[in-house]
Amino acid sequence: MFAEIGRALALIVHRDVEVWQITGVSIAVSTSAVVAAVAIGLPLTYVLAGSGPRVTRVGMWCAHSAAALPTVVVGLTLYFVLSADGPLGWTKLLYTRTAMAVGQLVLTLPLLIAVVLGALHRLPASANEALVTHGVTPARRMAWLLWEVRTAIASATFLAFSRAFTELGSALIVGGNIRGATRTLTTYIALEYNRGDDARAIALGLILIAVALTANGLMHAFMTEQ
Amino acid sequence: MTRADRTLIRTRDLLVGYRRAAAAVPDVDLSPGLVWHVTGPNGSGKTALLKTIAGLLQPIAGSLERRFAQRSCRAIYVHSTPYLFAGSVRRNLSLARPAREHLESAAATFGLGPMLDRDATILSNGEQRRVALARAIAGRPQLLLVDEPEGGLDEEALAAWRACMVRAIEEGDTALVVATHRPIAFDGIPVREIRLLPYRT
Repeated sequence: MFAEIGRALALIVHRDVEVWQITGVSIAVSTSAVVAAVAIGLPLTYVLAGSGPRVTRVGMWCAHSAAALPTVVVGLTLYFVLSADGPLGWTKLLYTRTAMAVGQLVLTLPLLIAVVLGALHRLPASANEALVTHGVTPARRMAWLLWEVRTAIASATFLAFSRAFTELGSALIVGGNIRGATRTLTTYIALEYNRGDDARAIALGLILIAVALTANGLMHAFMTEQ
Repeated sequence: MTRADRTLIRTRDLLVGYRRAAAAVPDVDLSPGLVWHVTGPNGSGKTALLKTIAGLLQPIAGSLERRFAQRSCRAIYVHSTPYLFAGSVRRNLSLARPAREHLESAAATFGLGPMLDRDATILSNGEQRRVALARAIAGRPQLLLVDEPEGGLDEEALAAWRACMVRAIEEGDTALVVATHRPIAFDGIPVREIRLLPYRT
């Protein structure tokens, strides 16, 4: 066991080219998924929060339910949608990084909406009323209110990144683990484990943990600053 | 121009409240140059009336006609427990995007000059109320609706608030509506009472 860990560390220290290329793909795919989730999720959440208590409750329930979706189910659904005879087969996105990012977007968007919607819901009504009564335009109102819940947004963003970065099911099914293209840390770990190359699997696992912990550290630094 | 021509708000058979009627409002024509004092026991709908006039609540029944001149800030409502946004006092005062001189004048009126760059959310209750009032006044509203304006203000802030409102009213471009249980007096400005009673079906 210790020998395997030693070999794993050696792979990292000696900068195994493939390991670092795969790390780059993982970070790029997960970052694009999270950026898309933030870009879509924040305006959507703001609209849900301002649509009355009933819509907010239903939105919260849907977001919580969708956040609990198993990654393989998301991957499988997306596979049927993107496969050649699926409704979006013509896009030829299956087994591409874009398909993997879309899968991770589906996984992270509900998480982001659930956390931010909860935070907006907890703001006193007087916050929005103060903006309305001072004649603040709808676009500026959204910016002011989202700024009030920025720590929740930061928390949700990093949680979303962690979920995207560490998921395996969707990436494996819609990415296909193609060497040099759609191979990510999690799909490569699964492959090396099946092959019996424990050292490489451990090295990849250590990098995965290091990146996830770095994201977590950044989140805590931001929240402490705020 | 007659006072009738300058009416900002005209109500007829107005019922206000949250989802269900809380108060029947006597017919009023709100015009500048006066202080309108909304009185009534707890739960009589004072806050609901102010919010309805400000456009934050819909009337339950009756009519409410707004006759504001074309200007960006028409009616500003100040909560009895105001919400201040994260960031500096200056950021809060800039909410209605006032001209710089209006912002600085409002800050000076309430003695906020030295604390413009302080975090607004860690101020005392009285200081937060001063910021909320200054924020509203900086927006130069045609109609200022203030819920319990004098709670938490010290004597100096009270005097500043009254003097500021007297000046604004005398200049003729602001009408003031105040909801409070206490008697109010503004030097030389007539006060009209709007007495609310809980609505009974």
